[in-house]
Amino acid sequence: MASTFRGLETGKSALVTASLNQEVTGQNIANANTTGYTRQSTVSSAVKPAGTGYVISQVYNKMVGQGVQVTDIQQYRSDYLDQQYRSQNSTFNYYEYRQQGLTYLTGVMNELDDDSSITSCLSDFSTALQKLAADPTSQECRLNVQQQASTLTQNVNYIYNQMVDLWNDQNESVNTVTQNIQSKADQIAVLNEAIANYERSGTTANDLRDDRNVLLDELSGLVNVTYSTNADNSSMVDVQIGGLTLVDGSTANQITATKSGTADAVTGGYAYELSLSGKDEDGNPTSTALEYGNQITGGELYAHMEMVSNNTSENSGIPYYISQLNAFAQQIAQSVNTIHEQGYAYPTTENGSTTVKAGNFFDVPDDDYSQITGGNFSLSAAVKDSVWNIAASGEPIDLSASSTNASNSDIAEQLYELVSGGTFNSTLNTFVGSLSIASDTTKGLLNTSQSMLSSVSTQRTSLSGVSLDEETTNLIMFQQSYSVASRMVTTIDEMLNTLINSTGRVGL
Amino acid sequence: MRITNSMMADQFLRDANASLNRLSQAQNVVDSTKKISGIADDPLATLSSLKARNKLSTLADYQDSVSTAGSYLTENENAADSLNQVVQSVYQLMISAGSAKTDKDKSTIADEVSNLRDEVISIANSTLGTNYLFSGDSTKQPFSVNGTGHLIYNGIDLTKDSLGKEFTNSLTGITNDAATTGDLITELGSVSDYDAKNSVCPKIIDQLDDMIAKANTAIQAATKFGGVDSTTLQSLQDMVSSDSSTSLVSLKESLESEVSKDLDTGGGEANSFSTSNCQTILSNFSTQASDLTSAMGVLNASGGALDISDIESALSEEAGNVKELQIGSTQSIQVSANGLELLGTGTSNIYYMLDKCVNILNGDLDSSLLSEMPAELQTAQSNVLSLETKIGTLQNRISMISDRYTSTKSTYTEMKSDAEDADMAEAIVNLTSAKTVYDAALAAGSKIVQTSLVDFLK
Repeated sequence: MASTFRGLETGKSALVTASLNQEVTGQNIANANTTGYTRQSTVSSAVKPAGTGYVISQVYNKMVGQGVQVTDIQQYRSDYLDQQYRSQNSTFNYYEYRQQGLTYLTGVMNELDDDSSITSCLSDFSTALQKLAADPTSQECRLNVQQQASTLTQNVNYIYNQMVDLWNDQNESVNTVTQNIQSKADQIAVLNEAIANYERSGTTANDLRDDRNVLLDELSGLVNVTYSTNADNSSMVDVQIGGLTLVDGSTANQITATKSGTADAVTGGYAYELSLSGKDEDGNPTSTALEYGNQITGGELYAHMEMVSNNTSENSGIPYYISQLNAFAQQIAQSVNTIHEQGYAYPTTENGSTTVKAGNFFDVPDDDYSQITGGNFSLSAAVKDSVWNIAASGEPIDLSASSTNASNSDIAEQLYELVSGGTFNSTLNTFVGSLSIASDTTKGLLNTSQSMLSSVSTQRTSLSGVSLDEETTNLIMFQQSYSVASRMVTTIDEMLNTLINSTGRVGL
Repeated sequence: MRITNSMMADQFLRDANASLNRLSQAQNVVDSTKKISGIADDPLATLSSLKARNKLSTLADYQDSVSTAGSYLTENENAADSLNQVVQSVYQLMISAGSAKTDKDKSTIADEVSNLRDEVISIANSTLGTNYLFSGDSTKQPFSVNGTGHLIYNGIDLTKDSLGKEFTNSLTGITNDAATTGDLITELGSVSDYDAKNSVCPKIIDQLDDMIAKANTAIQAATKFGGVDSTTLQSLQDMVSSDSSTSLVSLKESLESEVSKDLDTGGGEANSFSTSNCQTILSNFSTQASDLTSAMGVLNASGGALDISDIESALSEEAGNVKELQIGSTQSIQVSANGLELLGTGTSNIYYMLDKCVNILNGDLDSSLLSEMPAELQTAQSNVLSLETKIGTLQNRISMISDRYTSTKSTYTEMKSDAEDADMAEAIVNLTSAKTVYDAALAAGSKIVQTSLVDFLK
C-alpha cells in the first residue's frame, strides 16, 4: 500500500528539480560571456519505488517511482579538445612573440628608406670619395669624406645599440614570464587543494575546475606544459615542464631566474638562467636547469629565450644578427684600412711640408680586427682629428718640391672603387635578406598556427559554450514543468481535502 | 555542429578584423604608392630593389665625373684655341717683319711679339676653379719665367732644354757643312778657273756663310744657357769673328776678295783670279773647321757644360704626369693635357720660338734667321691643331659614354620601380573592393549578431 502523501512527495521533488534546473539555466545565462565558463546541466534520475525488492515491484506492476532527484550537475567539457588547444596555444604564442621581436629588428634595419639606411650612407660615402679623387687638395672635399664616414659609423652604432636594447628587453621578459609562470603554478596548487576538499563530498567542483582550466590555458601559452591527473587524488592535476614536475598535487615547485655569472659573448649582457626546484626519490631537494631547446620547447618563454641566446642561422636570435652586423663593420674597416695605409697624408703646418705616411682610416681596437663591433665602429683618432690625415695620394707629397704630387689621387680612386664596387652592399644585402626572410617565414607560420588555434577553439566553444537560444528554450521548458508540477501539488491537495474533509460526512 | 552566440560573435569579429586588415594594407599601398614599405613585406622584392638602388647610386657618381671631365676638356679646348690665335698673329707679324725697312719698325714689331709671348704664359697657366689646368699632378702654378728669362715648368728649365737642343742641331749642321765644303775644296783641284770662280767658290762661300751663322747661333745659345766659362766662349767667338786672322770669317773674306778679281784673259795680269790662290786660302780650312767642331763637341758631351741629359730624364718622367678622372668602374680618361703637351719641348717649344723671334727682331740673334721663322711657326701651329684634335676626340668619347649612362640609368630606374612601386590603378581598385567587402561584412554581421530567440517570444 502506498503512502498517503506519496503524491505530494513526488510533486515536491518535481518542484525542487524544476527550480534547480531554472537555477542552473540562470547560472548558464549569467555566465554566457565569462571566459573559460563551461555550460552546466543537471543530471536527474527517477527515484526508485520504496520497497525491498525492486524487481518484485516491477514484476507486479503496482509500484511507482517516488519522483525525481538531481544526482549531479555536470559540465560539458572534452579533455581531448583541451589538450589540443593547449599544445596549439604554445606554438601560437611562440610564433607570436618571435614575430614581435623580428618586427622590431626589421624596423631597425630599415634599408628601404632613402635617407637613413646604411645603403644610402654607403652611397654618400662613395660619392664623397669620388669627389675627393677629383680634387684631393680641397678641404671641403676632405671634410665631406670625414663627415660621411662618420655618419656611416654612427648609423651602424645606432643599429647595434638598438639591437642590444632589444636583447635586454627580451632578457627582462624572460624574467617576467618566469615570475608569471610561478604565480600560475602556485594558484594551480591552491586550486588543486580546494577542489580536492570540495569533491570529497562526491559532487564536482564545477566553477573551481573552470578556474583551474583557465590557468592551464594561460600557462600553456607561457611555456610548453604537459599535465596529467595526480596519481593519488583524481581531483588534482599535476603539471610538468619538459618532463620536470612543476606542480605536484597541492605543492608547487619553485622556478627561478638568476642572472648568469658570465657575460654573453656577443652583447656583453648577463642572460637569465632558469632552474626548477624539486625533490628526488629520497626527499632531498634538487635543482634542475631549464635550458632553451632541452626542457623549454614552446610558448612565450621559448620565443624570448631564443631571441636572447640563439647564435645560429636557424631560428636565429639577436646574437646572430649582432654578429652579422659586427662582421659587416669588420669587413669595411679592414678593406678600407688596407688601401688607406698605402697612401700618404697631406702635409700640414704641424708635420711640415714633407710627406707623412697615412695610418688607419677606421679605428681598430688593440690592432685586432675581430674586436671591432657595431658598437665601437668609428673613425680612427687621426682622421677624426684632422681631415688632412685622410690619404688621397699614392705617392709621397712634398710641397717644397717643384712637382709636388699634391693632386695625386690614386688612393682616393682605389677607395672609391672599393666602396662603390658592391662588396659591402652585397654583405649588407645578404644580412638584410636573411632578416627579411626570417620575418616572412615566421609570419606565415604564425598565420597557420593562428588559424589552427582558432579552429580548435571553435570546436571547444561549440561544445562548452552557452547558447542563449538554447538556454531561453530551457527556461520556458523548466517554467512549464514547474507550473505543471505545482498544478499537480494543488490537485493532490484537493484530493486530500476531499478525502479529509468531505469523506464520511453524509447527511451533514 | 552546435553553434553558440559567442561563437557567432567571435566569428564576426575575426572576419571583420581580417577584412579591416586587408583594407588597411590596401590603404597603405595607395597612400605611399609603394608595394613594399618595410623589408619584411617581400624579401625578393626587397633584395631586387636594394640591388637596383646600389647600381643607380654608382651610376650617378660616374655621370657626375663625366660632366666634370667635360668641363675640363672644354677649358682645354679654349686654351688651345687662344694659343693657336697667338701663334697665327706672330706668324703674320714675322712675315711683315721680313719686309720691314727700318730698325724702328722692327722694334715695334718686336714689342708686339714680346707681348704675345707673355700672353702664352698666361694661357698656359689657366685654371678651372682653383686647379691649374696644365700642371699635371702639381697644385702650384706650372709655368713661370725666371730671372734669366728661362721658362720653368714644374721646376724643369725648358729653355735650357731648347737651347741645348739648338746647340746640338747647330753643331750637327756645322759638321755637315764642313764635310760638304771639304768635298767642294777637293773639286776645286779639278775644275777650270772659270768654273772655280763662278760656281765652286761661290758655293764654298755659301757654305762658309752657313757655318758662320750656325756657329753664331750655337754660341748665342751657349751664352744664354749659362754656365759656360767666358774663356771658352771667347775662344769660340774668336774662331768665327773677323778680328782674328785665323777665323772662318777672315777666311771667307779673303776668298770673297779673290773671287771678286777678274779672270785671267790670258794676258798674265797681275791681279787676276787664280784657283791656286783659293786653294792656298782654303788650305787651313779643315784644321779650323775641326778645331771648331771639337771645341763645341766638348761642351756638348756628357758631363760638359751644355749636358742636358738630367733635364731630359726629368722631362720624360714629367711627360707621364697628366690629370685623369675615373668615369667608369675600370675606366679612367685623361681630362687635361699637361704643359709639355701644350707648349712642346726642345726647339719646337712655342715660348722658345717666340722668344727667338723677339731676339731676331731686336738684333740679338742673326737677322738671317728671320726667313726661317715663318716655317717654324707653321710647324708650331700644326702641333697646337693636333692637340685640339686630340681634345676633340676625348670630348666625343665623353659624350658617347654620357649617352650610354643615361640609357643605363633608365634601365635601372625601371628595375627599381618594378620592385617597389605599386600600379596605382590596381591599388585603388583593391582599396575600393576591400572597403566594399568590409562594409558588407559589417552589415551582414550586425544583422545576425543582434537576433536571438528573445525577440520572438511573446
